[in-house]
Amino acid sequence: MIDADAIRSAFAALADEAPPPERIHASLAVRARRHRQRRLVLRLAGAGTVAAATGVAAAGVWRFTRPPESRFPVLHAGPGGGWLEVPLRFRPTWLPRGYGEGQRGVVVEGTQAPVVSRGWQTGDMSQGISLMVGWHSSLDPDRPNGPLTTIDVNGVPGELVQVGDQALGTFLTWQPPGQPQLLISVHTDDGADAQQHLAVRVARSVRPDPGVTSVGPRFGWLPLDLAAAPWRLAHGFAGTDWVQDVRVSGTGGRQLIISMGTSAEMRLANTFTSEPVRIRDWSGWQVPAMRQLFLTLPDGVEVSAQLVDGPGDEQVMPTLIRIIEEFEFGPWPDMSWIGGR
Amino acid sequence: MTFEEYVAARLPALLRQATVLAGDPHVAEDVVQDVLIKAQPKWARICELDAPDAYLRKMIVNELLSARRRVAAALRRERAQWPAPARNDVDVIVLREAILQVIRTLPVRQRLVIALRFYEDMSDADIAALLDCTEGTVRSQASRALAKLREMAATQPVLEDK
Repeated sequence: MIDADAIRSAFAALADEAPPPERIHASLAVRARRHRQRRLVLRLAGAGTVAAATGVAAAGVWRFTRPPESRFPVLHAGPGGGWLEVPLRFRPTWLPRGYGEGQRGVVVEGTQAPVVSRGWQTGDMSQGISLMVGWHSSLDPDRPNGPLTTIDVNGVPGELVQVGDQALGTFLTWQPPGQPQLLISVHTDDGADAQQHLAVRVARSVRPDPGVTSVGPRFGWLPLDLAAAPWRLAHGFAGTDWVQDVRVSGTGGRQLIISMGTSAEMRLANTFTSEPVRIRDWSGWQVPAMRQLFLTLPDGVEVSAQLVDGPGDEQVMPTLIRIIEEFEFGPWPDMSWIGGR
Repeated sequence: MTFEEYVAARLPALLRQATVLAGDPHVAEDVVQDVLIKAQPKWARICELDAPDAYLRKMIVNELLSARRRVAAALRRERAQWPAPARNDVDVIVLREAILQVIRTLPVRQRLVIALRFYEDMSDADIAALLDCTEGTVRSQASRALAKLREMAATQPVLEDK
């Protein structure tokens, strides 16, 4: 005889088969460590946080011709170009074996781009080296502080700082005559001496680069607290998907993040408290509790937008919807540089 | 409550809940890890909802209902072996094991419905809201699941005859 008590008893026995939590604790701890390292690199490089790598299968082929430890996807995102062309100016001519370019970032203020950054990383994204050309006052809170060591970089005095709160990072700043400030940052699993050696060697290899990168997206309308602020454009990848982030921080602490790309991570993860929304000719979902919008554009590109922090009032979602309504996505970026040196 | 504090306090309970809903501890571990990874970046907002348990349960359910997981679950059902009629003494353990075998091989939605009804003691209306379906759908899914349990009982004459 099967009754409700027998079924409850069976479910209780099933619950007793639950796995121990230790493996997930360990996995989350490793992930958090990598995330902290990466976030530090990206924040200092002026680039936004790109979605973490996922195992989601999507368009793209792996470049097997590279050594096994430097596999990066070949991405066909778009034609590139845009309303603003930004000179890359410099690049390192030496990097450790296995590193490939994984991120590019630009700080945009009005019609100028005072900062451009590039990040190179290992194939598993756990270690990174970045070069930032130029500086902007909006980055001041992220400027590394600590005891300075003076280092010669091709005849120019440089300042080296090592920061080791969560994960050790090494930062080397110098400014060649008549050129913008250059900053090399190193986040690897090495110790302080090895990181310093790496930073100095990469810095001394830096040479002019005639290449350019482009800014495709542009805001049509922003609320007052965000309209006057500089904003950051970041290009990167997650797994085999390309990602383009735009983020702007307002004077009141509010931050707007718009992410575009082919990553399934950007699709609506669940339907709890979500509501359908229509913007221009696109159907999507809004999650007022999370101040989020999710759209799938006709060409399959996923868009997510979120207003983080700041006052939470009933105007948040109409504001976010209007920002997206008037946002110009521009041509999708050329991502053929992913995995290059 | 920070994300780390929540995980430290609630992870064992989440794993028990996910094991019941998934019918498989390995799938449960996989799903809970995926859900926590997705929840972490937006934890501040989830906390503001005053019901992080309910939010994560919804994420677990959605993950179990995703196409990728449904394919894996179907493959597991095909591989599953129905239990041979027990020839041991009739006791609660034998019956419970037989029920468990059926529960593990139910289609995902049927298992979710009876797990939420019998393990979580949720009403049909709450289950319908959680699964984004009507109460009628919940009742029909529960009916089909219970029919399979009754069918299992009918194929175990040894239990009854003894």
